[in-house]
Amino acid sequence: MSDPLTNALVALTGAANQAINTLTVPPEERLIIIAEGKQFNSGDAARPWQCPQWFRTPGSERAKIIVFYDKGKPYTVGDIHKNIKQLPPIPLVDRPDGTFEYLNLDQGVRFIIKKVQDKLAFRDALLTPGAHVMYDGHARYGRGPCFGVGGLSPGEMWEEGTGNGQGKQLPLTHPNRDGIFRLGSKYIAVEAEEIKKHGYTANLLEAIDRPKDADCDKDLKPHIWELKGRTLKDIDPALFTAVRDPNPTKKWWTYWGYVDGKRKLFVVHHAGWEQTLSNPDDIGALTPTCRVFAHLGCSTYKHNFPPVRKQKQWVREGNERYAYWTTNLSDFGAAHYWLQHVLTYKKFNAFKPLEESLKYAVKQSNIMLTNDGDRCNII
Amino acid sequence: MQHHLNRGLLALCFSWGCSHGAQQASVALPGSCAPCSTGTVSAKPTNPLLTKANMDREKTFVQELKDLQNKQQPEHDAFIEREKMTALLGGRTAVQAWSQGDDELANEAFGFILGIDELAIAPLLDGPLRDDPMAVSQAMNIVVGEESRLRRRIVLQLEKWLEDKRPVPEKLLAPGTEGTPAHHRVCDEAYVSMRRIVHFGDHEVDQIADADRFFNLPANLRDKAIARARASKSWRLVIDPESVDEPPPSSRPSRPKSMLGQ
Repeated sequence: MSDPLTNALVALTGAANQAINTLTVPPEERLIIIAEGKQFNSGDAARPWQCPQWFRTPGSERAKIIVFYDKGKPYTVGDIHKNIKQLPPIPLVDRPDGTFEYLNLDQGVRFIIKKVQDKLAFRDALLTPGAHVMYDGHARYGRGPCFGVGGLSPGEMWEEGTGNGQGKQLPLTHPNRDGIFRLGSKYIAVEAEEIKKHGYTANLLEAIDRPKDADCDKDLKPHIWELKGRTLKDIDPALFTAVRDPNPTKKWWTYWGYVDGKRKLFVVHHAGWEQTLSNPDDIGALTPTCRVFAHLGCSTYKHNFPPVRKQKQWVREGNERYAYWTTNLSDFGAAHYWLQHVLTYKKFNAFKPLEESLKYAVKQSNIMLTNDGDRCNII
Repeated sequence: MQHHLNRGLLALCFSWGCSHGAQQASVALPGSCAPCSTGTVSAKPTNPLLTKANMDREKTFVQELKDLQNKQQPEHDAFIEREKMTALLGGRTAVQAWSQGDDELANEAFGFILGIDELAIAPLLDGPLRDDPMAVSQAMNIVVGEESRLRRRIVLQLEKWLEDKRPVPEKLLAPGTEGTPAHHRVCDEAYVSMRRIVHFGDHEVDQIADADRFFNLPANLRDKAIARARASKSWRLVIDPESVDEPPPSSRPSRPKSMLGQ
């Protein structure tokens, strides 16, 4: 029995190109949802472009966009990711509802591209059957995708978020529109200075029972037996106003580690993926029904693969539940190459499993990232 | 066909341990040596026309690479795909001939497969192979043998790179990237690569987390970890098996040890 849909012939005129006018099988419609994080929203200081619109221009033009200045010297997209210049333009078409579409006749697929920038919409994206959800933003050292506005500006958006999701700032309840959607290990260690830098209220782990290995993030595991309880005064007196529990007599788990050869004090945070303080803004509170989830923040493979794939058991099943991660610090390059290659895969694959097209996207993205000198790959 | 036939014979020489075969095979040209009963040994190409053809091909290839510089990705992809197919053609055709051909052709094809060293791995894995236990056994031995030889070459090269303390230049990261990239030296990457290649069974997630931790150490601690690892019995067994009296109980430590050797 064949699928009547795939056998039907329709007259097809590409909205992007009036010259295309032929008979073909109707394309498969695939929804891609780009979720942009608190920093790196399209148009913020670190992303002086609009995604996905800038895919309409040839890579050679994208490469000329100035990303930042250092000592008066401009640095362009091409200085950071030189291979972007060889990417062909993608004729995305505006749709009335603010989304975009791209018809790839080679694939037999009409891609509908939607961009979301808040946590409620991201949550909905995960719960959209068949969707390809890609997150481009900070991974919060493994705590999870983090939403908000204001670029690098400090505040609670870097942790629990603000408001109640209904437009009111107080009381803080979940689900809300900004802050972290949690999908990390139960306990995650981060440099103590990061709390001050981002200006949020930290939820530190009190030094009572040593955390269990299975509850710890990959970066914390090797330090479990080095953990030492320290008071806030010993950690950093400035943290008295930056933690949920400022009790001066209590001790919190800490250890001395290294970042790029420099000794740093790390503190252990309550994080998690289920029954978290942010519930239901955690992956334990829902089972994603999207078909693809590509978490392209920094080092998400080591931080988020274990909780999502091993603990939550959100695992690949046939043509469902594909997941992709990054192997190192990532910037806009990973998400850019990923989307480009998902859209421009050239083999017909409508109404077929996504596996081959996604493999292609992984391979081509990694070739370009590696050729750029990037240590990050998609896995 | 003559060319393939000669290569097949050379391959057999190589498989018999004849060093001439290896030399000859490396120039990819027909030649002769004692086991082939043709009398003489020469590492020089015997077909100057073919050499010129190769040189012309090299020139064309370099020019095509240059031409790609201003092309878009579809052209890059097409070029890579075409060259990849060309590079694999001999091996794939030989595997097919070995699998499906008559006895004489299959014999020549198998000789060719034996002679192309590690280049035989992908075509044999891609198959299809002849469906009989002998063919499976032969393919298995070639694939694993070549992989082992290749691995050994990699290990010896990594050992050399462990002496190289030059910094690997950092790619410019877009501003705002969360976290600080760790500076690597060539020797640090060689150490991590060596761990990847000899530590079977560690999950990739653990390898990556371990490597990150190692790269973030100060240089003196990285040096110590490398020195400690190189002095270990299991490491010496990998580098120079004859220098170690007894094999370790297992190729893998009983508990996944960190890269720091702690």
